[in-house]
Amino acid sequence: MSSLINGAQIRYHMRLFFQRQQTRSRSKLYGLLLEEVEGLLLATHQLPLELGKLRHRLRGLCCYLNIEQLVIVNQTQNLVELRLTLQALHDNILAIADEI
Amino acid sequence: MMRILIVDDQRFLRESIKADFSRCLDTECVFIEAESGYEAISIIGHQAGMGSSRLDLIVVDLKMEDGDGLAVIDYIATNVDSMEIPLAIISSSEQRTLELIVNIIERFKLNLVGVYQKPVDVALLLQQLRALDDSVKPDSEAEYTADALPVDQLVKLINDEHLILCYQPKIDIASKELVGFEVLARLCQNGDGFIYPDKFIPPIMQLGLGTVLAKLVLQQAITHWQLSPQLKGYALSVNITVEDLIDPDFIEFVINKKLCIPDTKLILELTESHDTLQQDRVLASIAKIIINDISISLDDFGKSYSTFDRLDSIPFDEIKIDKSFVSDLDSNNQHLAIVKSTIALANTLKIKVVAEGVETLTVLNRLKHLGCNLAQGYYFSPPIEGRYVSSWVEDYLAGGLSVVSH
Repeated sequence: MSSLINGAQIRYHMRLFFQRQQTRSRSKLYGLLLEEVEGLLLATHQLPLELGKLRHRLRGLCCYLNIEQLVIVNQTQNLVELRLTLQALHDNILAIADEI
Repeated sequence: MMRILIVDDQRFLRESIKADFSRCLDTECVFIEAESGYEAISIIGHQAGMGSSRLDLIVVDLKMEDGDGLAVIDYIATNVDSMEIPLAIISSSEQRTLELIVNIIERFKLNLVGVYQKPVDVALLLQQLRALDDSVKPDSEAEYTADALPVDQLVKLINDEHLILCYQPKIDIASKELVGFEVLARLCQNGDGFIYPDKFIPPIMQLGLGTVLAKLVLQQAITHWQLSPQLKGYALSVNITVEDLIDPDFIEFVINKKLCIPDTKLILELTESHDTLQQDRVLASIAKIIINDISISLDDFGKSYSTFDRLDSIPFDEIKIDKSFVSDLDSNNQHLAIVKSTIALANTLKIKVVAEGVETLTVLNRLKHLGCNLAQGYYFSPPIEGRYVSSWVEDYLAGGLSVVSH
């Protein structure tokens, strides 16, 4: 099953988000974003699984990065889709690490 | 220094909001963070009595796990000490949900800055926060807080000397012709600014003095029209309630007063305060009024108790669409749909429609396109104090049409 997200556009919007921040805030925000996504990924492997709660938190992050439409949060209806989406998001965050 | 409480259960979001505030604000900020509604409530409770250390702004996420934004709103609404703190709600929910939240907060009369979809536009939020500050100060200086005014003092103001009438023009949308005025009452003590109806009507109604006030307003407005021959061609609309209609003396009073201004169309704008409009007595009073050439208008249509079934049983001359649906119909699709269907229904029933709260040309043009007959609102004029009405009419007739067609 392929990821539901478009990597190039996600990275574009994340770059925009970080460019908007003051230099001193960037690395802190980057670290927190990575931490949140890793926390969500980890939670998909733990019980009890609260899919609705995880989707809501993912949505919150995506809203802030202006990528809600790209991530198609509403289509992450099952655990497999949610994991794939979070993994893809995680990979894209790591992909811009050098630019922060 | 500004003290801002940020409530969100995601640390990345709290930190982003803090970064946005730091970027947009020149002044130093102290951020206090809470990751749940319950934690926020505890902080607000602790800060409320701290004088200069009080919070200047609360930014709260709507949906959180341990005590959501609604719990915070509920707490603030029930604690007098925190009610004045400006409140901004943030959410990733869709627009309709946010509008519901605005509605709830307005009912609680909290100091709402705005409800914002994530990501929050902090620059806009700060702009609206400043606007809120600006709007609060002059009002509190100019108006008496009738809440603080003892009831006996309020009662003493219900007389000719302290009652000041203002008149807001009603304009024919198609022709821009001035057709009449709605009378709006204000109370004035020692010439120190107005007390507005939202402050004095509820206590007066509670004291059972609503009809006394309605008679005074009618008396003063009709005298004004009698003494101003240039106004006699313009309809005069006066607000009444169902309680007034139950009082037989009031009905006789109105009918007699109408005889004093035979050339003027008198309209009684009826706002329902209880679900009693179908009572036999009320219907009989309405019939008596109508057969004496006085028109009845259904006020605040779409709000409170005004409903479609009233239109079926009572021959209203006009219905007035409440300003809460009109003022933003160019940007609110739900309100546009309500206004559109109301106008269509009224046109089918051959009842005139008055849109209240018309503030912009865009809204006016939209109403014209929808087939609305009359408009009232700040786009044409705010309520005008009685002594200036005649000169306003002169100005309007002399060149005012160009003023409203810009």
